[in-house]
Amino acid sequence: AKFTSVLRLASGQESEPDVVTLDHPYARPYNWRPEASQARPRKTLFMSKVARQPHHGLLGLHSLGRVSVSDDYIDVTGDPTPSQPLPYDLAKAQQVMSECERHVVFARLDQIKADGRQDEGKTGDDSEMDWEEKIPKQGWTEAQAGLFSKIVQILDTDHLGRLTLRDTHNEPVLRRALVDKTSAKFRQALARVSWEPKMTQWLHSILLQHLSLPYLAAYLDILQTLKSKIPTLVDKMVTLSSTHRGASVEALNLLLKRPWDPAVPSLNHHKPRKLDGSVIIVQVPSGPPSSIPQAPRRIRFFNAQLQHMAKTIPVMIPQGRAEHSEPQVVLEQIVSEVRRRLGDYRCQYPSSPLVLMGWGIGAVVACHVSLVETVTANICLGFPMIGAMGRRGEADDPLLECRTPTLFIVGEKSANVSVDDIEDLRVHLRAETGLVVVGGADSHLRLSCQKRHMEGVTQSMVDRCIVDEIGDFLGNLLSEGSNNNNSSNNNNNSNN
Amino acid sequence: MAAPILKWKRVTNTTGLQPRPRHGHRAVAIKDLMVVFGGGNEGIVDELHVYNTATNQWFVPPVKGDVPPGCAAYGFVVDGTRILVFGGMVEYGKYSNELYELQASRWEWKRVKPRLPRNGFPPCPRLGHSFTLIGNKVFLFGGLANDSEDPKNNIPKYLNDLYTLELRSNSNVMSWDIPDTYGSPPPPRESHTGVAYTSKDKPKLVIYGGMSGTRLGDLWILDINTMNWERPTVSGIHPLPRSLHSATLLGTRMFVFGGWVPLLMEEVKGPINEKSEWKCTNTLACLNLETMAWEDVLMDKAWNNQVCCKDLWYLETSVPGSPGRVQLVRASTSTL
Repeated sequence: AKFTSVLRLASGQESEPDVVTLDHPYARPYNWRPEASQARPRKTLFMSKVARQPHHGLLGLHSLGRVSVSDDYIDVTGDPTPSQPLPYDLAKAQQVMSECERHVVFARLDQIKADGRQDEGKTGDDSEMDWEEKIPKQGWTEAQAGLFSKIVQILDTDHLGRLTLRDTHNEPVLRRALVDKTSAKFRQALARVSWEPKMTQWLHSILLQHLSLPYLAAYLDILQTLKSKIPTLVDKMVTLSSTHRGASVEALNLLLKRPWDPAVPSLNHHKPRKLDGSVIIVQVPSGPPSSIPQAPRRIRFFNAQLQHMAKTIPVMIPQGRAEHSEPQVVLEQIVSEVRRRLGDYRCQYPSSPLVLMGWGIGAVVACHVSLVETVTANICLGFPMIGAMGRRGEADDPLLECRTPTLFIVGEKSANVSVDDIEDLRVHLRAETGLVVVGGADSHLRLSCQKRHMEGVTQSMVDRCIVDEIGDFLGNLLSEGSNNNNSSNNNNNSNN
Repeated sequence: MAAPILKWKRVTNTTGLQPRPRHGHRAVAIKDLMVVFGGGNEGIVDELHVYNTATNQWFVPPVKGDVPPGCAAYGFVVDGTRILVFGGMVEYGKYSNELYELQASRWEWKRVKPRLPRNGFPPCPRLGHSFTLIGNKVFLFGGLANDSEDPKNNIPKYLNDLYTLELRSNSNVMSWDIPDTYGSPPPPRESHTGVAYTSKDKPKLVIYGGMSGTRLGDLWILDINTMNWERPTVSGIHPLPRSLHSATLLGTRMFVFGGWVPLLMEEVKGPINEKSEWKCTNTLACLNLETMAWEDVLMDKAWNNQVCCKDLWYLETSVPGSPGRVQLVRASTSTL
């Protein structure tokens, strides 16, 4: 109970007065609008009611990011205010956070042996401050020197960031945001040299040989993060250059495979609540299958969390067929495949409510399928309001005929949807709709590193809040249906 | 004194326009008629419904005068054929401190502006207060106020102030008063119940349960003659602390029905959602106000624990007296 309420509090969902709203929900919510009675009031995640002032950013380090704006008086003598509870297990999070730091010793020991420099094995932090000066830079090309100084700059900034965050209240989560930021910069720097294998391999071997231990740990964090995003490029960079050091390669590979996340263990431990009524969520793809066999790590986590709540089945388009086809052909394939699968499930599980879910274009496809197939609800993640043919929801848009209850979840900073546009669409829809706006999120509902730092959350926590919102929407929808049955069955119920 | 054997019976054969499912409404009885007003669910109700217990018929009387806006969790008392409505929630986050009178013989509403108390301010807007008629005075106790100007940003403030509203027969003049009391008053609360009870010619106000952030199960008695607050010791098996329940006096017994109670430890299992730390109950408890003991209630039947209902039940508590005096209790209403 504690865990989820802390997470909800962090997302700006529930605050104290809700004890009152819970007991006295007689009135329509304040943002209820008579012209759109089918539209449930909009909910927001990670959007605080009071505008945050940028100069309070640093204070945010100590709380979970929630800063009251009106603190004119600063109490410096009294007891420090107790820090807010964290929605994850701090000890476990610190453990995973320091994984790279602990492994760095192995990586280096191995290399030290290979280089026959055992006598220098015990190098303290101080003597490592000048690691950069010890590198022989003769014979470097201009491009190499440029890349190297850029990387050093990135690592220096990262180091300062780490020192700033050290021993703060919410360190693991803030460190995660920092590592992601640094990795993004690193990726950008390598993109400037077009990830040219010769360059990247050279850089990797230089860094591996010469970086001081703290810097090497930071570098491993970067590799780990990037490997989950661009595995092929990172593999090319890492494998060849380290073939000559066999033992460490495996340890390194193992480490790089699993980017750490402070919240995931806790989130896996406190699973989302299972929905009643054996709901089946059918995931509509948003395009032909990708050439990378595995879905991105974030999506896998998202689906795993969703799976705890309800049976989730992805619809796959057979590979090969769709790969080089026209968009129109692919679209037809997706629609027919989704309809075929819906038919299958309806036969297989006749009593299960079927729900369509899609990301981006997949969300639009889900809505269109729901025009011709009966489903209980649509879940639209990152619904794009702007398509190739212009804005959705114009007078001739067949979507306006949709009668299926639909939950829209959109990013506040999304490029292809504005909150006003989607509210307009909701007014015109005759279906019951919900809207969740994720503060500071892009069209894939991802928060920027800065926003995550400010709110003191990880993307996994954000995703869990989104899953919880889906659960709330479906839960309400299903219980409304069963309540209606209840009222007629009251006589039977009362016999207990 | 043996506890009575009780039996719930559901009324199914009603005719006429039945009120919509709701909660936070109140009901009072005038002879055979039960008058139901307000409450709500996703919208506050402003209709007046009347139920004739002799014919099992619902009807909506045509009302005139200063018809009040709908309200929920307000105070509702009946004095002869005039009914008083005070306070309650009128909109999301917006509470009232207005007083309305309904003359049931003409179904005519009137807004009443009582005289201000000599020694202070009139009661602030609130909901979930108790409003209990004892003699010719209505006792207003506690409730919940909103300390913020902005209805969206609710700052709850639990109250424990006591006001009396003096009524004069055949007169429309009413006045608020802040009486002096002795002893320690009950701590602030809302959605508690107030019951008038007279023991050996001594009128008393019995305050039970409520909410102050946590559900309460304490009992307080105000002696109206001495204006002394007292917290009596109560024997017997105490029911779970609760708020949003109803309390009804029948003879010397106060029957407490339903409300929200904390979940028992053994009920908390599996993944918990913070909303399920409380549940809506259908249990009935019985306090004998003569012996100050909670008595066992022998029950026959109960029903589901829905929050918002439209079903109608009555409780058989004893052999009916002479014909014409019908006893009736409405689910989750506070007054008889």
